[in-house]
Amino acid sequence: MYDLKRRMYEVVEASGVGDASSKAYDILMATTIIVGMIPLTLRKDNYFTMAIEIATCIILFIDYCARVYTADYKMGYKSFKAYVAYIFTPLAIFDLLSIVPIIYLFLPVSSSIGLLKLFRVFRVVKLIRYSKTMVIISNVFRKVKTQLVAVVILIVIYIIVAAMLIFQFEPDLFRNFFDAIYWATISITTIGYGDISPQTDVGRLIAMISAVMGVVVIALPSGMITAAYINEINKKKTKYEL
Amino acid sequence: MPKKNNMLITDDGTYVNKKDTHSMMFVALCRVLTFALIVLGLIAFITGNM
Repeated sequence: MYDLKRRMYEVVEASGVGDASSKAYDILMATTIIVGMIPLTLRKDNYFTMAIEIATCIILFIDYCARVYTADYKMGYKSFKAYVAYIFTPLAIFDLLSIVPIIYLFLPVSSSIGLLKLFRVFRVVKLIRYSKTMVIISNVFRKVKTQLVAVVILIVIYIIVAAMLIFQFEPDLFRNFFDAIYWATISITTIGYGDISPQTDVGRLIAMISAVMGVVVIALPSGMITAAYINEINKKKTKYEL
Repeated sequence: MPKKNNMLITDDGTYVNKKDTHSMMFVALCRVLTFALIVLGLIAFITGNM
């Protein structure tokens, strides 16, 4: 029996082998997301960017409604709770945020309303669904999430401590504490723009320690992610060989 | 006989499956929209950078 709702679910999800409708839909959605980013590359809006905005928001709105409508298939159980649970999943939240920019077309222009345009970048997250490689990468991040969070917390603590120290020992160098945070971040990531450089011996000592810490701490997540990625690839290879 | 919403009875009594027709129309619509978006995007990018 031709179940329209089930068929809609199969089409909106990432396509399997031989499903021409789903593949065409995936290509349309990927194109919508990429074309929807074009206005962010331009300084001013014109007639064509407004047309892109309206077209992409309509398509993304229809996609969101279709996904919510078929949420019971996605979540695996038929209940009102399935729909509510789906709306609060991360990808569904990103889907909703990516539709938000349409609001600024209907409201009076102001700087705060214009910030809504930045929500367009959330559309890039939707590309995860349509790329097998992105799915692998998101699986990798999910597996090393706990270790990554621990490293990120360590980095944040170090940045704040280094910023506090340099702010006390070099008070003339920084306009405010945010400048000190900026300097500490640029130092620990070993970027070192050079726009702010410590002048005192203590300040330079803090800079040297930041550089060494940066090499160690920034290498940690890279190694973790690489190891997890290789494991994921090997697992897929083994699965195909079996 | 079970009710089939995607089928119709022709004059000589045979059933015609409309599912394939619907799929082809949907694929064609997706392709037209994709092409239109690409063209619109290119025009917006070129005119916006002039």
